[in-house]
Amino acid sequence: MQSVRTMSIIEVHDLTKIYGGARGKDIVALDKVSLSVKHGEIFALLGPNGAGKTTLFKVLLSIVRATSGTVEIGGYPPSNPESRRKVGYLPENHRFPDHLTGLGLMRFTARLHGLSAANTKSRADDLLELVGMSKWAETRIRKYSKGMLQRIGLAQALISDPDTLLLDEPTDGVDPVGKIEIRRVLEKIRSEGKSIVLNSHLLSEVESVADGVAILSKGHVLKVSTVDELTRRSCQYKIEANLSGPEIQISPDVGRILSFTDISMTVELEDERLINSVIDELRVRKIEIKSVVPIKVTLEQSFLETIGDEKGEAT
Amino acid sequence: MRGIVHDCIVELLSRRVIYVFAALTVIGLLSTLAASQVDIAWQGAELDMSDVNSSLGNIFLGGFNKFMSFLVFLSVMITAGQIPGMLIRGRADYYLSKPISRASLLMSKALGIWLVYGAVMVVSVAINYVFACLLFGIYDARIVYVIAMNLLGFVIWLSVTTFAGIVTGSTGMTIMAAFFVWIAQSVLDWHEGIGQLVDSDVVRYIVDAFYYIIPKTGQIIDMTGDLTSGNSPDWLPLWSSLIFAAVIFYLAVYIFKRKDY
Repeated sequence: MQSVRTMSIIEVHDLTKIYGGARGKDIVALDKVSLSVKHGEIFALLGPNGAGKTTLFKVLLSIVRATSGTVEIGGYPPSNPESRRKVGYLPENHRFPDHLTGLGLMRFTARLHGLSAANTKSRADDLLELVGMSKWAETRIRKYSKGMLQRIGLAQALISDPDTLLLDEPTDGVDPVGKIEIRRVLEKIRSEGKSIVLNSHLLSEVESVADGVAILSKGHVLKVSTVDELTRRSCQYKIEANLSGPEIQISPDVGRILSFTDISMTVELEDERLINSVIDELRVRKIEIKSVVPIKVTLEQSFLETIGDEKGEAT
Repeated sequence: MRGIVHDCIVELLSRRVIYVFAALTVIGLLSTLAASQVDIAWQGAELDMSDVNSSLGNIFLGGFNKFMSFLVFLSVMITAGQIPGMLIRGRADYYLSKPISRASLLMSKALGIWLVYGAVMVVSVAINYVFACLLFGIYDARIVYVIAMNLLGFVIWLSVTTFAGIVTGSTGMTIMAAFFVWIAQSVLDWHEGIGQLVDSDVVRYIVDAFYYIIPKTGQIIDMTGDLTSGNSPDWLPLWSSLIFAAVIFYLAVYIFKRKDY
């Protein structure tokens, strides 16, 4: 039996969503998408505009209906309202009922989740404090700035103490300090064992908080991986050592040397495990190794390469 | 459900629509007060106070029937935007992402609107009526007919605006749909006259069919007049309109459950 920690909170299998367009032209928003999100994981959906990220969120929440495929969230299909009981959602370009105050929105959201306002009073206060909105709790939402709306949106998404958070562009319109604060909030939520699925165009942000990533383009999943795997330049290592002696050669079966100086060398290997052969070779020559570091790229580079590959294949 | 109803109250108070009803209530009160100042010259006739009270009661009940019908019309216009407003881009996501079925959401919203605006209308009419009773000494329980029938009329209009709101997603189109139904029912009130004007049995049949299908809120107001004056009313306008309301509301739920937002 799987433990709760490793079980998936979201399971998507062969999900297809086709919107009926004008003049009978159908738009394929999602095409046989499959992915899963584990408990306690921060999972990011990356992709250019129109990739299908928001549609995927909407299918998970039954805001749009899947054309085919199976979807489960918290063990329920989206058609069952119970699937949304322990889910918090921050929509993109949201328009909360603007006749409410910030605190009013928190109470109303709690009631929609079937919670009594009395039981959630202290939680609402805590969350407003957490997102830095306590001062504006009694102000009508229609007077909020974009950044304030994002903060209150995040707070309302947390009011039901959800197991899963779906956040669509959570830092959109938020100033740099606010972004750091939101990142801190997300890390705190993850530390409580909750799962977060994140849509964001800000790849540096995703890189700093996400565990898993799915790259989507035109409704297809191009890659599902961990941030670590995506950012690691496969089989390239930088070795820092005293290399001032005779020049070092490595067998073509093992790999090749990309750069070489007196203090470091960069190697590209045929297989990750062959790094041990290189280290053995250096040690045989009594070379003192200071560090062996896998070479990484930014998530942005990796993302652009993945999207670029797909465009290349398409042309 | 309670959450949605509560939200309707909060929204009503925040939008200051309630002040419109309060203003109309005051105008009603002032009109009643002005009526109390009119001297009636009886020219030496023997006064039977029970006849006078009965006549005054009928006049006032008729007046309150018209007053409340106007409040219903006003409420239809004000509430036409409630359903489309809930489903605008960005707000629909908020409501639909909550653990409530779409059927419950729509029914709660419609019930909330009916309860809140119904209560405001009832209070507005009741204040005026109590004031009139105190001034003229006409205590007449038949005011309950006026209130009940107009609240049923509001149910029928609410089903029309809910359906139009779900189908069009636009406040303007919803108001236009309500106007269209109002015009259609006004024209179809003359279905017998139309039948006499045309030669074709088919046209006559179609006009009659539409007459039975389209709600008849105008005739419900006339029914209220019959009820308050002690005449036996024709119940067809009421039950056919309520059937129409039930069917169209069911259709609204059916479409809402299948729509993407």
